[in-house]
Amino acid sequence: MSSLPIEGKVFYFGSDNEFSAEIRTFFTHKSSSIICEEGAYSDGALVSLLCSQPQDIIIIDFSEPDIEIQKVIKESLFVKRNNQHKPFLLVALFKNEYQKKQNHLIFSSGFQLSFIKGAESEALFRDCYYIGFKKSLEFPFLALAGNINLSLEIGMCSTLTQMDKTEFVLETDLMGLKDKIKTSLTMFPDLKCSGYEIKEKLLPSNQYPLSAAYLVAIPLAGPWVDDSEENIQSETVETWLENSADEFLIHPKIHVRVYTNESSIIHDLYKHEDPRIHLNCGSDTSGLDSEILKRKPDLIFFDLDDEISELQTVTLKKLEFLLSISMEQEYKPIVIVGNCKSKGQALQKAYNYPLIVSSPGKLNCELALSLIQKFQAKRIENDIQSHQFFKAASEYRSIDVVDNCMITSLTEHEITFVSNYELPILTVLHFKLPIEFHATRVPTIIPLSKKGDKFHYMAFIHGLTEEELMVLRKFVNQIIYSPIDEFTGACVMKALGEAFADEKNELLEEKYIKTSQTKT
Amino acid sequence: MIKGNLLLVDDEPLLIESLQFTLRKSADKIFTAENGQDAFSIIQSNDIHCVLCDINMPIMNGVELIRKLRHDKFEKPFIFYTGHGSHELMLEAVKYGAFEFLNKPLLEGLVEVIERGLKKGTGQDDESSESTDFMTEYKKLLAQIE
Repeated sequence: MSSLPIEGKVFYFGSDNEFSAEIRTFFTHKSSSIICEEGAYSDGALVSLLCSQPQDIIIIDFSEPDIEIQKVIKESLFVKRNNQHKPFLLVALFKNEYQKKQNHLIFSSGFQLSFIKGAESEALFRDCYYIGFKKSLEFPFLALAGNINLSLEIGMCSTLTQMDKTEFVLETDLMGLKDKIKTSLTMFPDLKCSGYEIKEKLLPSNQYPLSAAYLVAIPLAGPWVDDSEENIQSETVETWLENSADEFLIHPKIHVRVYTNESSIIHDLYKHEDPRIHLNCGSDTSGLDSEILKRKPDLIFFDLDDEISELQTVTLKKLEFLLSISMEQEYKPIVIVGNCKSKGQALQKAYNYPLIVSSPGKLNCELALSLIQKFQAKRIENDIQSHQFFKAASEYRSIDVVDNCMITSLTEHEITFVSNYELPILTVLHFKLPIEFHATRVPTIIPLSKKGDKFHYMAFIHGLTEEELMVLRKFVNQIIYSPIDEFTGACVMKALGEAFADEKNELLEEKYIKTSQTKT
Repeated sequence: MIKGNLLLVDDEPLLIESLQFTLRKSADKIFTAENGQDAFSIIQSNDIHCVLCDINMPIMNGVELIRKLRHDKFEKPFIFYTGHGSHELMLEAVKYGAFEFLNKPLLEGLVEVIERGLKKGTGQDDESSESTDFMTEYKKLLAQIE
């Protein structure tokens, strides 16, 4: 029995014809049913593309000066949270080492892989194919340092979403965080603490594509205690917030959920999206009640169908349930029902809920925006929120949650490790040794042994420059023959020193060995 | 200016009589029916601009009546009066377009609601005033949030 050819879509945002030809050659060689297309990027292009055609892989070429990371982030977050079709792999292409400093921001904004253009095209296509189409393929045979079994701190790319002067909200893919956590947070110079206490587990905001949220206490020092690596004076945080909050925090923020079958409305709403509005759009009402009770949006819009269908009857039943429960939970969203023949007052009585209103016309962007703006004005007037929200484009929101993992094997492309925490597929990890790199958790391509109640995972290393790749390759070769005792800066430095001993490449030695020293 | 024709549907003759009296100045003509089936026939053969109907009646209840009429493209305002135990029927009725629900026995705001219903049913309530009503209603809701 012959297997069906893989069908799918790959889209490249960029104007490099040579590169798009390479994409086409690679993917169509794998399957003639994979459609590869390309186009220039402009604000809203990603939303338009996904509204018109679901994609499997989208590659965005940030090496082009017209494509600004900050603008794309807003859009990538929007499409990741509002994508109605199917999950897709979002890949960043960078020009150079300098540009990839934005890695953390993009990884907490829906991107799962990043590559340096020109450095690793073959790996880029292979990784995308394996992850995007979930199909096995032959990976090149690489030197493998196996059975390492050394402990190493790994950062899990996460994000801060809200803060006030005593606490912040952290969103991450780590599900089981409790008590104390270690982080890499360096929001402002006086904040030197790395240990934070989890106060409470929260529901994720759904603004970021991360699966868990936690309320985390800022370790405030008592009176007469100086700022240290253990804690910080509350006055220091307050002063810093007073002086700098406008740069990276916004207030207030309202959460709007729109249920509509009209993808053009989603596109139009994106164009007018205000950073103070967290907008979720989609047509699927199957989880309306549970989703709303979980996310608790302030405003809920949905359009009724022209004809009364069975689906609509079910949706209205869910709405009834939602409204009865929300009253009990003291959560009272405003519900706007479009294309509704019943008057608002009739709905209020039927649902026994005072904050429901109906519009005889179908929902459109202009109407929705006008209602959202009025609500926003009311919220400002009431000024009821204490937490402020991080701007999506602010680097201050970047945070790694650090955990001690056991590295079990390493090649220049794959790393396997044992984690204390369960990590979803495509969690992006941040390593600082043997060189600094990012890796993405993938379904393993080799059998991995069980490690008690812990989790044994494989991640693909990506985003390396040619120089970094060479250093990593040499490091792997070196430790195959001279295993290191521990994954510390000193041991890594020694191994790298030995690896480069023959070549006397002073530039590389200086760059990587000294860097490793600083990370002991 | 025409006021429009009103149809009252209820199986209690005394209530019909009292409503006829209360609403005599609000409508040009008031028709009456004892149940949904009779109401359906009256609507087929007369120009009705608004219906005031008990939601819970024998033979054909208010929801069955509105469902049948909406199926026949009768889109005039329907005002239901409801009592204890009508909740499920109310939820069903809103699917077909309920203009308002009034609680028995007080029927508070009856005259005002009927006049609004007749205005809409005679086409004197245009699209722009509907949209103004909607905004006014929305602003009222906003005023309720703390």
